Amino acid sequence: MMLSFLLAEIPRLFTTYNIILLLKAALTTLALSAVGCVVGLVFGFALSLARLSQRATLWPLRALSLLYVEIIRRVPFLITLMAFFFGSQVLGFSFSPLVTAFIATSVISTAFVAEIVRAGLQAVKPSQLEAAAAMNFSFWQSFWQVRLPQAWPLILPPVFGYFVLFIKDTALASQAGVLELTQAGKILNTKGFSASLVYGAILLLYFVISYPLARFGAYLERRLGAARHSRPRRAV
Amino acid sequence: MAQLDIRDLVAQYNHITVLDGIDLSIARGEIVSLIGPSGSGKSTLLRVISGLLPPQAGSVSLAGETINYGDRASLRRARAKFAIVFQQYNLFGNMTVLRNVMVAPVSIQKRDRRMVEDEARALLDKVGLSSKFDAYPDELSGGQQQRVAIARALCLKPAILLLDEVTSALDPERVGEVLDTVKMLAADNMTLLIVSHEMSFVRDVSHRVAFMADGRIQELGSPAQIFGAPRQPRTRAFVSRALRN
Repeated sequence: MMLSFLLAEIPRLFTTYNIILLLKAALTTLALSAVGCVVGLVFGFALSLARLSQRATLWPLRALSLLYVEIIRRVPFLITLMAFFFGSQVLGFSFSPLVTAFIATSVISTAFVAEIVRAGLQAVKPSQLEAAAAMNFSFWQSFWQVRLPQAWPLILPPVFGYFVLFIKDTALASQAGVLELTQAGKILNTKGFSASLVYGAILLLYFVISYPLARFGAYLERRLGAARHSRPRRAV
Repeated sequence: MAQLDIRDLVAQYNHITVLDGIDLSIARGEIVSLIGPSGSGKSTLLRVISGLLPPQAGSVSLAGETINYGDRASLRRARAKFAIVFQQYNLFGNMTVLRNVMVAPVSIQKRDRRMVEDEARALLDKVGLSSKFDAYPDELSGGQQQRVAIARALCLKPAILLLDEVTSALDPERVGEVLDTVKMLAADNMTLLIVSHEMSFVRDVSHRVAFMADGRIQELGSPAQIFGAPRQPRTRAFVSRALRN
C-alpha cells in the first residue's frame, strides 16, 4: 500500500523543474566540498609547515597557526558558519550566503587538514631529516624528497576520511539559506512530497558525490602509500 | 696544514655539557679513531663537526677555513666536504638502494646523472650489493643497510668520511663485512674519523687513536701506544676491559 503510494509519487517528484533543483543543489554541495577540500589541503599544508618551522624569527607564524587550528577545531561547524554569516554582515560585507558558506567551510577544513598534515609530517623520524641535512639538502629539498613521501601514507587515509565527513557537514550551510542538497530536500519536503522519497534521493546524491572521493583516496593511498617503505609484499 | 682542525670545542645537549674542550688535528689521508665508554661524547663530536648540533664554543676548521655553523653558506661549503655514516644507517625509507646512493650527488651536487649512476653501481658492487639496486632499505639486513650507507657516503666524494659506530647494530658475522669495506677505504687514502667499539679493527686501521671520556680527549696516541702502553689510568682500564671482550 505504502510502496505503491511512493511509486506513484515518483513521476510527480521528478519533474524537470525538480530535477534541475536537485542537480543545482547537488552541484552546490559538490562545489562546497571541492573548494573546501582543495583550499583545506593547500592552506592546511601551509599552516602545518608554519607550525613546524624552526627558525626563531618565525615564532609569530607558529603561534598564529597553533591558535587558528586549536580554536577552529573546537568550535562547532554550525557556530563557525553563523559567525561568518552574521559577522560579515556586521562588518558591512555584502556577501551572498553561498560565498559566506564557501569561506566558512574552507576555514574549517583548513584547520582540520592542517592538524592531520602536521601529525603526518611530524611522524617522519628526525634521523631521516638529519641524514638529508648532513648531505646538504635544503629545507625544501628535504621536504619534497624525504619528508613528504614518507608522510603521505600517514596523511592520506585520515584526510580522505575527513573529506567524506566534510561533504556531509556542508549540509549545515542550509542553515544559512544556501541551496545545497539538504536545503533542496527541505524545500521539496515542504512542497508536500514524501519525505522518504525526497530524502532517499538526497541520500543517493550524497553517495554519488562522496563515493568517488573515497575511491580516489584509496587509489592515492595505494599509489603513494607504497612509497613509504617497500613495495607491498606478498604473504609467504 | 691540518685538513681538519678542532680547537677547544664545547657542545651541550639540554644544558648538559657533552663536549668539554676538544682539541684534535687530523692530516689529509689520516685515519683517526675515537674510542671510549658510551656517553663519552664520541658520536656527539661527529654530530657537531657535521653541523647537526651547533657548538657552544671553540672552532672547527676545514683546510684552514673555520666553519661558521650559524651561517648557511659556510655550513654548506663544509658539508660538501664531509660525509657521515650513521650508527642507525638512516637510509631514506622511501627510496630504493640505488636512489639512496644517487639522490644527493644528482639533486644536491648537480652531477651528471648517468655518471653518478655508473659510480653508484660500481660502489654498490664494491660493497657486495650489486643484486640489491632496486630493493628498499627495509628489505635488507642491518649489515646490508650499513654497506648501502657507506656506499651512499662515498658517492658524495667526501674529503673526510665520518663513521659513527658503523658496526654496533650488527651481528658478529655482519661486522666482518662492514669492517672489510672500511679497510678498503683506508687503503684508498681517504681521511677517516671513526667512532668504534671494535678494538681490533681500530688497532688495525687507525694511524692515531683518541680515548674519550667525560666529553674530553683523555689520551691521544698511536694504536701501539694506546693499546700497548696507555699512560692514563682510565685509558688503561678501558682498553684492558675492551680487549678482554
